[in-house]
Amino acid sequence: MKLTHNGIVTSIERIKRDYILLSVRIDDPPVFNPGQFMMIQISDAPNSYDPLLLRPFSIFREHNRVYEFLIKVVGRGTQAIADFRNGRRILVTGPYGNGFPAIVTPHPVIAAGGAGIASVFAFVQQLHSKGIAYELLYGARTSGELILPELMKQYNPLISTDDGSRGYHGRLTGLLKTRIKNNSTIVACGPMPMLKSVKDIAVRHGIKCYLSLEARMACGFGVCLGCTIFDVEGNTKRVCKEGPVFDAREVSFGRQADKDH
Amino acid sequence: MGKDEQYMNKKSLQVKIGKLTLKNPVMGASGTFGYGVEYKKFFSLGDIGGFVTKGLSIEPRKGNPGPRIKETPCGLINSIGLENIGVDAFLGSVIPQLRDIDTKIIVNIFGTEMEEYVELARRLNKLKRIDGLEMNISCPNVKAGGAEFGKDPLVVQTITRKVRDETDKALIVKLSPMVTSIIDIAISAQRGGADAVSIANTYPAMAIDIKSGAPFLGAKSGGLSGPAIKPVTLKLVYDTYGRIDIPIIGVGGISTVEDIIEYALAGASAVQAGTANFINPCATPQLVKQLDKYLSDAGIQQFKSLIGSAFR
Ligand SMILES: Cc1cc2nc3c(=O)[nH]c(=O)nc-3n(C[C@H](O)[C@H](O)[C@H](O)COP(=O)(O)OP(=O)(O)OC[C@H]3O[C@@H](n4cnc5c(N)ncnc54)[C@H](O)[C@@H]3O)c2cc1C
Ligand SMILES: Cc1cc2nc3c(=O)[nH]c(=O)nc-3n(C[C@H](O)[C@H](O)[C@H](O)COP(=O)(O)O)c2cc1C
Ligand code: FES
Repeated sequence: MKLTHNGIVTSIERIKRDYILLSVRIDDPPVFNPGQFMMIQISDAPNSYDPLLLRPFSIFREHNRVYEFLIKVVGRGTQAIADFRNGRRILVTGPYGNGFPAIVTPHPVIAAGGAGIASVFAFVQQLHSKGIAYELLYGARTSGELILPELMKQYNPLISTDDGSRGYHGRLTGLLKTRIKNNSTIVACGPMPMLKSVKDIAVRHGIKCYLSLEARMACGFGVCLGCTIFDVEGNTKRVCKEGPVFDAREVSFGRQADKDH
Repeated sequence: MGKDEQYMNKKSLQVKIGKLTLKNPVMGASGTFGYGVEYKKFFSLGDIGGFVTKGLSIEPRKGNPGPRIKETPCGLINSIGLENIGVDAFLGSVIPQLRDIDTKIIVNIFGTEMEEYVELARRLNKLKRIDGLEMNISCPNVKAGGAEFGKDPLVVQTITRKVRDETDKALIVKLSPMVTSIIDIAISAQRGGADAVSIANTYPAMAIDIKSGAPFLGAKSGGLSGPAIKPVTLKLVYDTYGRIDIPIIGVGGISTVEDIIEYALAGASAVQAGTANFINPCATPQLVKQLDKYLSDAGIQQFKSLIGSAFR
């Protein structure tokens, strides 16, 4: 399968103040697993190399060769993407990484915190289309920060907001505790402190749990070793290759994790 | 027409690095090319002149805590910390995957004492599939209180000689850029028996996170690479050309065919592209194609006729 693609930007939709939905048409469309990601070129190399590196984004959705990425604008690169024009040609590489495991039945509980929804959405969509029962828990600080509420509605999310402006009042992990059963499998993506609590909950209940992690990446395909993390046994794992989805039992939330987030 | 002339009239990208003949001058640089096998899914490795593996040590190394990557204007600071699988795993699991590859394979080696380099050279010398060794001497020498091997001309000569005595393979010494005199170090490598020098490794660099007030990288500092360093390393190549008799491999910020031409004019016989592979995994075979076209368009028959031409 080809892993380097010439993409054409077909639309950039502003969603709220700091989110965009980027659509890129790829003529040689690769198959992907939900939870896999692609690297997106930002500069128009070889004329300019600033910003230098491609940026990793989960595949949000794919339809008729158009790949969508739900992107939170957090810095220079993502701001530059927000300023893309339709028709721009960009290099897109991937899909990379492992993606979510195919079988998480009988009771999958998907917990998405903030921008974490971007990474789990394709997985939710897959379960939905296969008719597999699941629960989607989706949390944000305020109701105003919930992304694409209309789209999400189809997947019957249970909402939590830190300020109680919608749904469960409190943290997503608080809501999670009320939903899990002995036979649940948790799939989570969100900020590191949230993932740490999710892991604690899973361990305490002795249930399976998968976490989708992020790390700074230079290559995305396993050669730079920039995204290496140390697991609980101190072994090295590349987030781009062995991850980004890890069994929560492997994931160590040390100094390193706190520092980058 | 004499035999030489006939040969001269044939278009060729071929270059020689000591006893190694590369089909073209474009290689992948150490630490950006994995163990080569990772690139098989992007292109046929036979299209490029060769590649240099990630730096290997005797024991596996886990590397530095994160973050390990910081982007800078047109550059990249990395503090990977020489994470690698160790020589046993390389011989056991990587080499079998490289058997059928039609390109030159150069193994980058490093250690924290001279004996490690020697032992690595000894063990790798037995392998037919390996065409050359590149010594990364930008490492702290533990027995010399942590001073970099690559900063002291005498140390460079000694360590090169010791490795030379253990290997029949093409021996390349990869120089540190931040030295008092790159010429002195290159001469030392030559005296030690090197077949070529790679100029150069990354530049010591850092970034500070102004929010936390602390160094950004987990290891506090790292090495700068990418287009940002090209003019600086280009000058090191230019300064060294003509001062040594062995070929120079140019490494630093190469991303376009024009960069390759510049390096060749400055005196590089071959080049390695590093960071460019992150921006496009197919960068090296594309550079080969573009180089071929560039030479055709410019009416240049032989790439090697460019080497050092900036001095003429
Ligand atoms: C596997 C993976 C999947 C991802 N999927 C998505 C997604 O679907 N949607 C989305 O909005 N974001 C996603 N991200 C995060 C996204 O890659 C970063 O937000 C982006 O690279 C920031 O680029 P920038 O130039 O705007 O930020 P910069 O100016 O480089 O940095 C701004 C801030 O962004 C954060 N950041 C930078 N790079 C990364 C990174 N690689 N990972 C995490 N945080 C980073 C840092 O905290 C930094 O303070 C993903 C990251 C990974 C590793
Ligand atoms: C992520 C990364 C890892 C590297 N690892 C090594 C290494 O293990 N050994 C080595 O000799 N050089 C290493 N280098 C240096 C490169 O081989 C090269 O000398 C340098 O990056 C300059 O070239 P560039 O600007 O084309 O990247 C590394 C560079 C990068 C960016
Ligand atoms: S991003 Fe380069 S190894 Fe993971």
